[in-house]
Amino acid sequence: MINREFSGFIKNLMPRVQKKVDLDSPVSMWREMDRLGGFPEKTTVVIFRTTGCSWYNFSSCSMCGYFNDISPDVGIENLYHQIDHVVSSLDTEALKVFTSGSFLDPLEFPLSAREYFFSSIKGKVERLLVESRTEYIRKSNLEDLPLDAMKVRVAIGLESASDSIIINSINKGSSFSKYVAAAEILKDLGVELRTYLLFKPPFLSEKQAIDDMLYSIKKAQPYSKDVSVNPMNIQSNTYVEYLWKRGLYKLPRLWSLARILIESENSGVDVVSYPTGGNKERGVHNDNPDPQLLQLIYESSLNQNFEDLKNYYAESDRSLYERTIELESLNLLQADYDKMIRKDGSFIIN
Amino acid sequence: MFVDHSFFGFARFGTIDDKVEYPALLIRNKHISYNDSVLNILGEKHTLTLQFDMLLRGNPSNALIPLGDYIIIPNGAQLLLRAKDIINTINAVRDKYGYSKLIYLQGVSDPYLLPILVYMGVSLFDSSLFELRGLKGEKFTPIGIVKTNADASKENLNFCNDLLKSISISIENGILRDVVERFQFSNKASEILRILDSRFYSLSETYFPRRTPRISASSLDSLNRPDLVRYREYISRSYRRPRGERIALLLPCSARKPYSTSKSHKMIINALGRLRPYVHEVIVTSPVGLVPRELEATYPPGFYDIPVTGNWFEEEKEMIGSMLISFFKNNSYTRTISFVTEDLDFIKEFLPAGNVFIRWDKSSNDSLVELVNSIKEIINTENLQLIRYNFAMEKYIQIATYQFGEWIEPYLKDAKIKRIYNSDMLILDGDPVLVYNEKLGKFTINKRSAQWFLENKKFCVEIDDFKPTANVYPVGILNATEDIRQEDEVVLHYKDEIRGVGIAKMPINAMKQLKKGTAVKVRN
Repeated sequence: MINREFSGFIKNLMPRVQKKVDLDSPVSMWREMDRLGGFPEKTTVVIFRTTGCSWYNFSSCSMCGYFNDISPDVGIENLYHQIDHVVSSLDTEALKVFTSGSFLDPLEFPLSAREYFFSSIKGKVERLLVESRTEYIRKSNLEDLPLDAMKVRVAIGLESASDSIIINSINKGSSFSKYVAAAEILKDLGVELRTYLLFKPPFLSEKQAIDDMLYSIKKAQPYSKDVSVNPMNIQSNTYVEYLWKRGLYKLPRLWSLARILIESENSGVDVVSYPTGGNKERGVHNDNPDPQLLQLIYESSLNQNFEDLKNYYAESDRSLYERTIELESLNLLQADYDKMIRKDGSFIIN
Repeated sequence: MFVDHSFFGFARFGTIDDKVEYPALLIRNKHISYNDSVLNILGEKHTLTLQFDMLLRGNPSNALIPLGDYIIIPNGAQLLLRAKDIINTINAVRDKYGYSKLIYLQGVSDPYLLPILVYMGVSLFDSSLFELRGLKGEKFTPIGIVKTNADASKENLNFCNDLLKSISISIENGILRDVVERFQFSNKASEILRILDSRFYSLSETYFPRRTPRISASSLDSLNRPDLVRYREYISRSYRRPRGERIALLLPCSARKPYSTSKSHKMIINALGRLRPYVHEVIVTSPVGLVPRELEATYPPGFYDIPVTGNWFEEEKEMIGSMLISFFKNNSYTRTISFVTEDLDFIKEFLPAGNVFIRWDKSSNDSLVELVNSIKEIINTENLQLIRYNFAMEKYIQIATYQFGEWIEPYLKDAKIKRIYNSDMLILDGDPVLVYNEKLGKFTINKRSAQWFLENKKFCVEIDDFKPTANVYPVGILNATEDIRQEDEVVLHYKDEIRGVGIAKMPINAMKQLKKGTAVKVRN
């Protein structure tokens, strides 16, 4: 279920030449706060450098620029070195593992490396999160998960529960039913599920995008331990960047993200958002920068306590924002109209 | 259901469901809404699936969304970045749908583009971005956008509505082109107009009315009005001077039209006196270029007004120069005399060898005396013979040829002029065939002359089997000859049986594609 023309266009934007990189070190590693255990705690995040997502052989998702970090030369030995590097500096009980693709894809992260990784972190890590596309979530592929040694959560990028958005706006090469099937397998195995949603994929108005998130949260709730709402950020060489540079994509506003969190407070699942690039040019931001609002979004996500955010939201004058997103929503083409207006050449006196 | 009331080329003025006049600004939540994939335009509801990336590239017509009576162009903001893109897209819409749908362009944020966009054929806009600009304190004023601290969204909508109302009136009154030329606050508007006039001239010409009430030439853009270009091309390519040995006499124009009614031209005519039959008077001017005296009362030479400065733009000089060259290539004279004011000195280099150049000094009679003496001298040296001409007939044959084509000349060989009810008529065998309308500088045809048009397949509108009375609607039209332009005299026939005569009130493509509106106004 893909839109071939769309897929082909995205493929053409992907760089053909890879940068020279250190194959023995992960792409990056840092610590941040998360609540894998149901409480806020320091969590290590690592991005392993791999040969990349299997989907890249065909295309890519419209917002994903992780292909910029992959290398076709990464071999099993390199992965062992990367694992050693991570384990040697590990100092938290919670660990999140990303690759520029799927940790559970045995071609991207070979089983022997997976096994070496699990055995290396046993006893050190209590809570582990790994990411995967749905096609690798099969019982036979999950038998080696160290469920006896730690709590494991798998994160799936559902992005949206609406297939037409998945196909025509995101180019995920997946579907809601595949997500459900994967989620049920995880449930049977006793593996927790984190669902990623993409807030404001291209072509949707801000209003439509908010509705899409509220709908998708509802649909993902029965299967998920938590839902992470990821507002769009503009990554290099992506289709979204292509649109954005031409004024044909508008990033979402923090007000909208706040609204999604507030409205899903009682949705029956933890809804969190830790925006990448928040308040920056390439990330979620209001028309006027609002550092306090971003901070409240982080804190309320982490603590699952939305009182301060709700108060701030209720007490602020959002009328300009509300009217703006109403006005924008009339347009069938969702461009960045602020940018387009500045480029329209109209005659301004002062 | 929409009905057109009047046209100006691509532009149309009419009503939708008897309640909303177009060109219109669709106000959000009043005329238009878009919620949960349902687009509601004036009560017509359509469920839309998102067009996704198809909007953004490839053939621009990929982005078109046909919805009932409307064609929506959703990517206006993107297309308006480049004049060529918006022109190509609207042309593509016209190629595909003709006049059968109203064009709704989304994403317009510059209010000063409304006149040119209507001129191109857009009928519907929406309030979205005009309100948005107002919300951010950008207030539309008659001379440009002023940034303020207040919400100007309401004022902006009023501004756009008033503008569109005036545009409607200008369509109805046939002066939209003048409005578009005058209203160029955005360079984009100028770009679009200039590209339409140059690269898309032949398309624009096909749709441009034959005549308008008047031409108020305000800038160099006026030079390229399709009706002016059409006239100048006629003079440069097709015009042939009246017969007989003559001296060409080039004269400057006058503010008063026709020129011969002006004080200055009367002075010349008086001075020429009985020498007048030896000369062929040709007026040199802008924006019409050259005007042979016989055509001075026709459109456009008798119907324009231009700022008079005593200076010419290079473009005007070039235009006049190249017309002079073509004119004298097609029309030979015994000699030429230029009797012009100083500002027209530049024409010297474009005139045939042996031209006599006399500068007209209006402060004394000396130059007029010099003119008369020069003519006399040429008459003597060249031994010119005075032939008796019927000057009125000569003028009418030239006007009929200009208006209808060379083919009509043989039919008028034996015609006589008769003045009835303050109008000159051309009479054949005692019956009027063409009636000259002095005020409009054109002929009207009747059932007798209609036969000639039918024989030559000129200006013919084929209708169904009915008797036309007041207005003919396009639904009754089967076919129309390609030479017809809006405001032309036309012959109505059913299977070559003449059913009436009248005036075309819409472009031929509209006649062929539409059902409603007035296509031909019938003369009884």
